[in-house]
Amino acid sequence: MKSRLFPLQKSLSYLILSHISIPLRFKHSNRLPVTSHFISKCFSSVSITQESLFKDSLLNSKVRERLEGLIIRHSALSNELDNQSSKIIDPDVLASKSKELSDLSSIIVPYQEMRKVQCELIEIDKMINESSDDEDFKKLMLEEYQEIIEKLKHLEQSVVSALIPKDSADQGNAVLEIRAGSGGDEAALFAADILNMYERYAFLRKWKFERLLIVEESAIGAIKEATTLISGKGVFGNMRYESGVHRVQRVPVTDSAGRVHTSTVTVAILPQPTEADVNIRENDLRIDYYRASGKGGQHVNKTSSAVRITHNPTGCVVAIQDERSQPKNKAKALQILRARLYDMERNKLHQERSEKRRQQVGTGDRSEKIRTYNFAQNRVTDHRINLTLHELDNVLNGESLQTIFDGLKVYYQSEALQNELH
Amino acid sequence: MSKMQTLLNRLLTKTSNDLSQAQQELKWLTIHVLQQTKNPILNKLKTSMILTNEIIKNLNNNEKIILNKYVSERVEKSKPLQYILGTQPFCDLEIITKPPVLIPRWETEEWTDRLIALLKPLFLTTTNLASQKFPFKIIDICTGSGCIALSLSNGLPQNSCYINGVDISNDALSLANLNLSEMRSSKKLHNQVKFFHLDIMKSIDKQICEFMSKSNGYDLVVSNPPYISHDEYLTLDKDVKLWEDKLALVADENGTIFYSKIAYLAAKYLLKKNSHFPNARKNKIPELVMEIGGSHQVSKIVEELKKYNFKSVDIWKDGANKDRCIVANLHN
Repeated sequence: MKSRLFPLQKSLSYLILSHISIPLRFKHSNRLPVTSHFISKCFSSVSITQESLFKDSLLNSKVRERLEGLIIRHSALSNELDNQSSKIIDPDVLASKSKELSDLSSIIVPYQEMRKVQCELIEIDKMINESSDDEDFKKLMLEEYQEIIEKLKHLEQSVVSALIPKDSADQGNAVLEIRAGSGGDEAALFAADILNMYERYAFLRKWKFERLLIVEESAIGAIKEATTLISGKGVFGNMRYESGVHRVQRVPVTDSAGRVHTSTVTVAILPQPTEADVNIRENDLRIDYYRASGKGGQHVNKTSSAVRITHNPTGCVVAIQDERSQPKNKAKALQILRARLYDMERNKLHQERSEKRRQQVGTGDRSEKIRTYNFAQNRVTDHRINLTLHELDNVLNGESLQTIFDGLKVYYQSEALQNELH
Repeated sequence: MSKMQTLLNRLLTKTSNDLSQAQQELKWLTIHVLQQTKNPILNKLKTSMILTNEIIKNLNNNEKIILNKYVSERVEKSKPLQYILGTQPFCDLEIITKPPVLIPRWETEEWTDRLIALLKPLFLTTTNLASQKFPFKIIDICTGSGCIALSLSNGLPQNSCYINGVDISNDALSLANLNLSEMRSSKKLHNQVKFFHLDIMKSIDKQICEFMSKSNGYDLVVSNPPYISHDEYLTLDKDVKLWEDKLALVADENGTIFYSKIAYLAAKYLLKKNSHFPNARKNKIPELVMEIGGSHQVSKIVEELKKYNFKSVDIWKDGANKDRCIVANLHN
């Protein structure tokens, strides 16, 4: 099951070898970083022709070129800053250069560590090849070989994460919105299942899961719409790729003929902004209260505390009535509105940036069908990464979701990495 | 027709045929029933917030009888939902509600929140020592359930102020004291609160002097006095008229008689001349905050305030854009 996770794992050993060709260009450079002797040592043992086999690596030739450039910049900077007789007097310049150095270090340090481990791998590989008669020793070496490959995998991830631009929203909370799509009551029932799935997942992660808004479809427990706030460390970063159309194929409890229906549910994950992220002008809001005509105050005791807020410039509407306190409903509505406006703003920026690069960047399209839950086959397939898990129950109870999230993260990170280089 | 559908249909008459509101009321009533019978399904309903046929169908007989009784009280007797449920959320508190004491309104909650936000910075700049020696003193006139006084106590920094509440009604005072002890046991009482019996309309100056001898004067006077005119009272909903204390609602002179008396007492006896909180003036914190019945009362009340030398008179609107509070300062 996990072997289908991503192409990277399939050809892991090739991938690792591919890194070894990196030092090619450094061989004749006279500004070699500290680890240069490792590199030249490694180089001699690798055949260059293998490179063509390593297409699956995240660190392809373009990335490697970039990393080389960064290493040069890094050593230049550290020389400049280390030097006691440094010519930099301007404190602003000094600060910005120090910042750049520390940013670069977060990439270079794991990268250099990675190369060191690669050399260990070569050594082991050599030893395995040279000791073909000693089976016990060979077995031991093979075990170590596997360990090192695991280590390299993690290091490569660190390098990739450090290379792509950080999204500060990743660390924060997220607003989760679920809407029943096509398929009537069955879609609304599945929306309730999806809501439950994320709630269980949040529970397993020890995150706080707060239902802000539930619009019920019928008395059988189906929901038309749900908005929840998930709070904890790294919620958005983990769940950001859940946005899109989730499709269910099953025999609905409501169908007495026992036919399989296909229904859809739309999920959106929005980063929760702070008040500073989104500045909502009081004048742009229209706030309606239920039965607000009349004198109000002591004159009436209305039990309805429903609040509807319209953001005039965007036409975005949020209505809340779950709390018995009207000010609390208003605060909730504003919270959701703020998240939606922030999301719009981010999407706009995202689109402008992709257009500049003249290319489509995967995420963000909420009408894209991303996943299928097939009950008859007991499977869940994520169409973006062709990952299939044959354990529907474990996905719906939240336990296997992390496997999918991890796969998606690697996929989108590699995509982001490619985009960075264009 | 399912049992749930029947209950909803009955409740619709109380919610002007708003189905989602009827669903909300039924959900709250069901939660209240399950709380009393300690039915474990309660947690499921509370977290999922979805009331299903299934839940209603699976209530035991006793639970069904109680739920039916609640719906009947609500529909046939026009009993306010808050009296059935026994509480109303107000700022960060659950205020206990009992007939006939006035049920806290959302408009009051809104301006109390605003007032707390306005007062808070005052105590950030004042050292702890100073505010312990001279706590910021607040009096809440016509305190009713005590919702304003208690929310101020809960919302302001620990030991920053001292709050008194007064009311004419013994029902109100015993409910206010019940709320007070409830808050104390749930550790939400961050500042001392005391309630006293006082009939401010009938009291002669000697009684006020006696009351004031317990205190050195106040930095802030707040009040949500009765402000409904006799004519208006006739037009009110049964929920209000049949259940809530008329004493807490109706006032002579078109609902404005309390404002003149409060302005007089505040100027002459209640407000301190020398405040230990010079920042209060700078931060434009009013010394008098009174809830009002609407724009039709404003000119009359402003006139009264001027008579007793109040300045910087301002109106606070509520969320429905109605004139809801008159605020003013006595000292510069």
